[in-house]
Amino acid sequence: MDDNTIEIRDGEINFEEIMAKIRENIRRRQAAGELPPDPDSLIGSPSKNCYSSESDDTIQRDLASINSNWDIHNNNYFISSHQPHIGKLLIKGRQLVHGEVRRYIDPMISRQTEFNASTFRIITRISQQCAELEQSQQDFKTAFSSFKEESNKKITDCVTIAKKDLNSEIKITIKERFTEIDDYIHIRTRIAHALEDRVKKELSQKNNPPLSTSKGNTNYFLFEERFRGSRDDITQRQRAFLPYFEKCSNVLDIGCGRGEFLEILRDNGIGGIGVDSERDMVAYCRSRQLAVEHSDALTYLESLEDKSLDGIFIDQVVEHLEPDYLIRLLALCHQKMKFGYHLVIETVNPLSFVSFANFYIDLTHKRPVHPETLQYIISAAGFRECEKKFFSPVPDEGRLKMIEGAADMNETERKNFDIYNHNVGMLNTLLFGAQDYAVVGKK
Amino acid sequence: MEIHQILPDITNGDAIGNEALLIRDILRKWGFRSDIYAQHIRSGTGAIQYENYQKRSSKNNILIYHYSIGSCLSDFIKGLPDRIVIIYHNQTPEKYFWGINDHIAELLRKGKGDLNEFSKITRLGLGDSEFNRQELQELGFPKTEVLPLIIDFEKYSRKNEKIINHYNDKKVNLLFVGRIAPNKRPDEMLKIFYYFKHIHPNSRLFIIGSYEGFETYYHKLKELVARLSLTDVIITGKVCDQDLNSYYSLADVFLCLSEHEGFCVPLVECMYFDVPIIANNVTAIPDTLGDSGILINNKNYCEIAELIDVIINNDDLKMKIIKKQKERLKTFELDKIKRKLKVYLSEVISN
Repeated sequence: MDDNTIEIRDGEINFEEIMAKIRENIRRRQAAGELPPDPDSLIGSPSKNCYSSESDDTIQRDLASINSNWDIHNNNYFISSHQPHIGKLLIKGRQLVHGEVRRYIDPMISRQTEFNASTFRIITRISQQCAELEQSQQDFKTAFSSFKEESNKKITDCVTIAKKDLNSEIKITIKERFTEIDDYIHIRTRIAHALEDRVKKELSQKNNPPLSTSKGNTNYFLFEERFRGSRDDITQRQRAFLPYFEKCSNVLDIGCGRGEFLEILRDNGIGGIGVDSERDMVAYCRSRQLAVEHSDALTYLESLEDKSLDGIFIDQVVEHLEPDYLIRLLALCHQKMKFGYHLVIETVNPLSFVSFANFYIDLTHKRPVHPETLQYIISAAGFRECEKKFFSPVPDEGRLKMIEGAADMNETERKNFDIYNHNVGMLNTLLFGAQDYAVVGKK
Repeated sequence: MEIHQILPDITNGDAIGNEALLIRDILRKWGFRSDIYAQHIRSGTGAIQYENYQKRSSKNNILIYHYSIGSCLSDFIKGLPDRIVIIYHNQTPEKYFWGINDHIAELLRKGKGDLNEFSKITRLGLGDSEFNRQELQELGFPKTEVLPLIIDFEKYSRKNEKIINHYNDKKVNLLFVGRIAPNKRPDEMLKIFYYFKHIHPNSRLFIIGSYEGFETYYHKLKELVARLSLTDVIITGKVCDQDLNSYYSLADVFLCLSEHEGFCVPLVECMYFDVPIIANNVTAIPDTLGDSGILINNKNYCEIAELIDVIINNDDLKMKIIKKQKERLKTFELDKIKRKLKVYLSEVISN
C-alpha cells in the first residue's frame, strides 16, 4: 500500500495522469473558493467518532466505546420463536419468565446505568480538559520552537556578520600595521644612510674643507623626522590641495621632501614629479618609486620647456628662501606653466603668534613671508585670481577660553562679559590663529 | 457417503445462505445425499434444524461448516465423528458492534476462540478469499485452499423496472451495497458524497442494505445526513434481488469504504453490471478485485470525490475499468468454482 490516495493495478490506465487531474481540480476549486468546509467541522465532537469504533487514538477509541456502552439496558433482546406450531406458546412462556427476571434485574441495571452515565460524564470532562491542556502545551511548544528557530537564525546571522566584520577589520588593521612597519623600516633605513653619509662627510672634511650649503651641516631629512610631523599628518593636510590639480598630468612639487604630495597625486592618477635639493630626501622618495630630481629648484625649472607644467605645488619652502630667489622662482613658475592651471604655495602663517614663535624651531628658516606679501608677489609674477587660505587651526585646548554668561546677569555684568569675551577672541586670533596659510594663483 | 452443510443462519438473499443452497444443489447433482442444517432457519430454504444432524452423522460423511460467527453449533460439531471441512467467510472484528449490537459482538468474540479449536479437527480449511485462507493458515489449519464464494449469476437477470423508471433522470448515481453496519463505514461514504455533491449538485447516493439489528446505527447515520445538510441520499434497507439489480443498473460508480470484508459479493455484482468500482484496499477487497477496479489507500474524502468526477467525465477511463472488471469476473464463473470444489472434496474423500 502506498501513500497515494488511490491505487490502480490495471497497467492500461495512466494512474499518474488521474492523480494529476484530481490534484489540479482540487487546486482550481480551492483557488475559486469552491471547496466546502471540512465535513467533520459540521458534525462536531464527539459525535463524529460514534459512526465507527475505529479511531487512530486509543483514548478516543475507548471514549467512543464508553460513549456507546454506558447504557447497559439490553434493548436488542427480542422474544421470538422460529417454531411454527408451538412458537406462540413459547413466546408467552418466555415473556412470563422475562417479566419476572426484569422485576429483579431492572433496578440494578438502572442504578448501574446511572453510575456509568455519571462516570462517563466525568471522564469526558477530564478528557476534554486534558485535550485542552495538550493543545495549550502544543501551542506553547510550537511558539517556543518558532522562537528558538528565529533566535538561532538571528544569532547565526549576527555571528556571521560579526565574523565578517571582524575579519575585514583584522585585515584592515594588519594592512595598516604592515604599511606602518614598512614606512618605519623605510625611514629608519634612510636615517641609517643619512648617518653613514654624515660619518663619511666628516671623515672627508678632515682632508677637504666643507663646501658651504644653505643648510650647513644640518641633515634636513633627520630634522623633518623630528619636527615636521608624521607622513600621515602631512598627507592628510596636503590632501586639501588636491582639487587644484584634478585631471592634471604634469605637476611639479618643488621641495617635495619625503614625497607625501607626490604620493597623493599618484594615488589619484595624476602625473607628477618632485624636485628637492636634499639628497636624502631624493633617495627616500626614489625608494618609494616616486619620480624626484635632485636639483636646485631654479636650475631645474630653467631646464624645462616653457608652458610644459599643468600645476606647481610649493609646500613649506618659501620661508627658506631669499627674496630675490623667491621672486625669480615665481617668475620661472609662471613661464613654465600652461595657461589656466594652478600654482599653490603653502607656508607658515606669521600672523599667528604661536606659529610665528614655532617658526624659529627650524634653523633653516630664513624669514616668514607675510600673506599679503606672498599674495602680492604671486600676482606680480603674473598669476590671476590669487587668494589666501588659512589652515591648521590651533586646537581649542591650546586657545584662551571664553567665559559662559549667566541668564541673571545685570547690565554691567553683561557688558563686562561681552568685553571680556571680545578681547579673548581678539587675543586668540592674534596669538593662536591658523598656523599655516596658502596662496593659490592661476596662470 | 453423504456431504452435508451446517451453518448458524440460513436465509435466502444472504451471500452465505445463497452459497450453501447452491452447493447443496451441486452436491445433489453429483449424486451425493446433501442437506443443510442450521440453528436459525428462514422458511423456503429447505434447511433442517441442526440438532437433527446427530442422527445422520457418520465418520464416512463430510460435513461442511460455513464459519462466519460464533454459535452453539461449534460445540455441537466438535462432538461429531464426521470429516470436517470449514468454509471460512471471515469474522468481522467485534469491536465494530459493541454498543450497536452487543449480541452480535459477543458471538463474534466467541467465534474467534472457537475457530482456534477447529484447526485441530478440520480436514480442509477453505477461505473464500486469499485473505481468509491466510488467516486459517496462521491459526494452524494444516491444509488450506481458496474457494471463491459461489454466486448464481442467473438471479441478476430480473430487474424492477419501476425503480429504474423512477430514478431514470440525469443525476449521477453513486452506489453502496452492504449491511448498514459500522465496519462498512457508510458515514465515510456520506462525507465523500458531501464533497461530490459540491462538484455535482445533480447527484444521488444509494445505500442499499439491511439495517436489521443495527437500528441505532441507522438512526445515527440519518442524523449525519441531516448534519451535513445532504439531499438525495437514499437508504433503502433490505431489498429483494430484483430491486438490487435495478440499483446496480442505475449506478454510475460503486463506492465501498468498508474496513472489513471476507469476500465482498457486491464487488462481483458490480463487475457483472458494468459499474466502475472504487473500494478500500483492505482485507479481502484487493483479493476479490484482482487487478481490476480502483483501490483506496488513504481515505482522503476530497480526492476520492474528485476521482469519481474524473471517472464519470472520462468515458475512455470508465470503459477501461469496466473492461478489466469483466475480465476479472471470469474468475468467479460457476463452472470454474465447481471444478475447484470437486477437486478439494475429492482430496478429502480419498484421504
